[in-house]
Amino acid sequence: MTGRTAALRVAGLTRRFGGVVAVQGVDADVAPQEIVAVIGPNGAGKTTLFNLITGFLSPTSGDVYYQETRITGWPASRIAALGVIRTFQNLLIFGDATVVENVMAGCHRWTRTGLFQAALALPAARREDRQVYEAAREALAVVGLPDREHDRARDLPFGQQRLLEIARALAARPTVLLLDEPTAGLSAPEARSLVALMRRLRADGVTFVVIEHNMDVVMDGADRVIVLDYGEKIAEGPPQAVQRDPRVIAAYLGDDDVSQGRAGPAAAPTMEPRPR
Amino acid sequence: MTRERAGFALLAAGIVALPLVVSTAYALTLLNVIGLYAIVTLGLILLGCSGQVSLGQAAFYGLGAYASALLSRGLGWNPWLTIPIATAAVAVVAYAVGLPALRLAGHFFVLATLGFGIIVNVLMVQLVSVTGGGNGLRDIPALQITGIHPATDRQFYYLIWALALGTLLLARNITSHRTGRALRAILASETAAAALGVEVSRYKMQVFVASAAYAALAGGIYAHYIRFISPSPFALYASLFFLIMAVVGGLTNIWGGLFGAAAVTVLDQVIRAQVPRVFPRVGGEYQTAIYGILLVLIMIFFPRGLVRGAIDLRHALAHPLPATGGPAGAEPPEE
Repeated sequence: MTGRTAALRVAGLTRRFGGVVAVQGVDADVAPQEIVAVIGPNGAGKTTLFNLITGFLSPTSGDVYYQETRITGWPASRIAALGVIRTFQNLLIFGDATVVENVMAGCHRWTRTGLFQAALALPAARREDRQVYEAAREALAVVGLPDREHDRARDLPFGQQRLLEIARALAARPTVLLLDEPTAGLSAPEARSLVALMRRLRADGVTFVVIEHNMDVVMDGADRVIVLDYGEKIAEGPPQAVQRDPRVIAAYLGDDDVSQGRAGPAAAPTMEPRPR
Repeated sequence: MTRERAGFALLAAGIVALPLVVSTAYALTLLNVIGLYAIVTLGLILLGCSGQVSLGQAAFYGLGAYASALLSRGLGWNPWLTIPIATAAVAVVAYAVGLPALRLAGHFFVLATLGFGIIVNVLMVQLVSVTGGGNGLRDIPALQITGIHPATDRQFYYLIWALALGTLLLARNITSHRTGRALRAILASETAAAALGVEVSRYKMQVFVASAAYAALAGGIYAHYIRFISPSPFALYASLFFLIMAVVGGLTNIWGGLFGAAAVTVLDQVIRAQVPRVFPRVGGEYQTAIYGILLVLIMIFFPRGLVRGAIDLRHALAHPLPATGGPAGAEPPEE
């Protein structure tokens, strides 16, 4: 972050739901082309943090910045239009549409024709259709789904539906990509190739924020890890350092275990989320 | 694409040829009314493509009719001018109605359009000095297509069906291209659409205004075709009637609009003619009951409309194992 404008920054971000504080005073920034993993036990506030950044929730207090622009409280579509694109933990693909139609919908951000050009099927609208179709095919090839473009999205196996949602997000040509548990439902080789894909795209200029439970992916893919627990940021740093952080271990295994001396570095690598 | 073009050409040819086969005044009037209803229904289906339902289309239809009738009667303007003016004015009204109404989610938006429809109908009845109240407006200037004589039924037939085909093409195009992709995204999941940068409320407003303009255009033609208007054909009952046409056609199926309008109008004629023969003493309420039951049955068994429903059914019979539903829901993201 030294001297460079952060791609994304949150300051004192807080969100309450009634008496429950889902996210509390989180400060964090993400440098351009960085891959940041957000980890934490279930209910730690990770998805709420994503919802706050992407405009699906308004913060109770605190601010969100995209580069130098304060985007706190902007509608989700306007934030997405900036290039801050997200995927969803519970998958929001368009099940009845074909695979390629799903991805074509992702191209909305950088295309321009409106109702009148569409109504009259003007050349601009049809030219855009061809561009969008090509871009969609390209995005499908990038995630490794090139041969299923005409299948109905809901007929894909779950892992491929995940990849489809990522392809749709890529089709938006994001500057910042927020992935909510992208490897859930993926096989180990699929997860590894997703990490490789993130690294390739980062080289092309994309910044990543990834909620991830798979510690192999975190260790392998992330430049930096932010750990949330009960809505607060409890640790931040390179994956290896965070993995050894006693507070992180306590968050995952429960405070009692630490105080009883049962947890040590040897127990950390699994980092199974504890049930709440 | 080419299949669609062939279908459209076949449809257009059939429409051009139809008056050569059927030429009784009754049949022509019925076809003209179907054409007008088809335009309203197409608007409603366009709206349905954004996942919205309106129970106020009869009000827009009526506003188009009254506005064009009043302008041409009061100011002596040519109906060829007043119909587009009325259509544009109703589009502005729809925009004003949409500003608050579109903030409401789902069922509450339907209720808002329902309330709007009732208010408009009450105004038509009560603003006697402007609308003529329950007596309506008589002597509405005729539309002239050739020369100085009022257009004939047959001329109206070609005008109405040219407009129906034109609005069909426009609706088909709007639901293609970038706008169509945005609408389909909204229909599938407003959350996912917004996450891709689609301004959900803007697109909903656009199709809402377009649907009102469709209804107003049909209403304007109607006023100068029948040349007499009164509040009753624009009451809530008519809105329900239009909605059933859209549902029969398939709420998101542009091509189903013509079918829905034709099927329900013909059914209505049959019911009007046959039910009194079987049950001589029933009142007019039975129609509402029949339509209510019809609406519920179609929504339960053919939620995609009768045309697609039949295709689905054939598909299901040919492939007995149904495709399992994917996890693609429309729930808001939550932790």
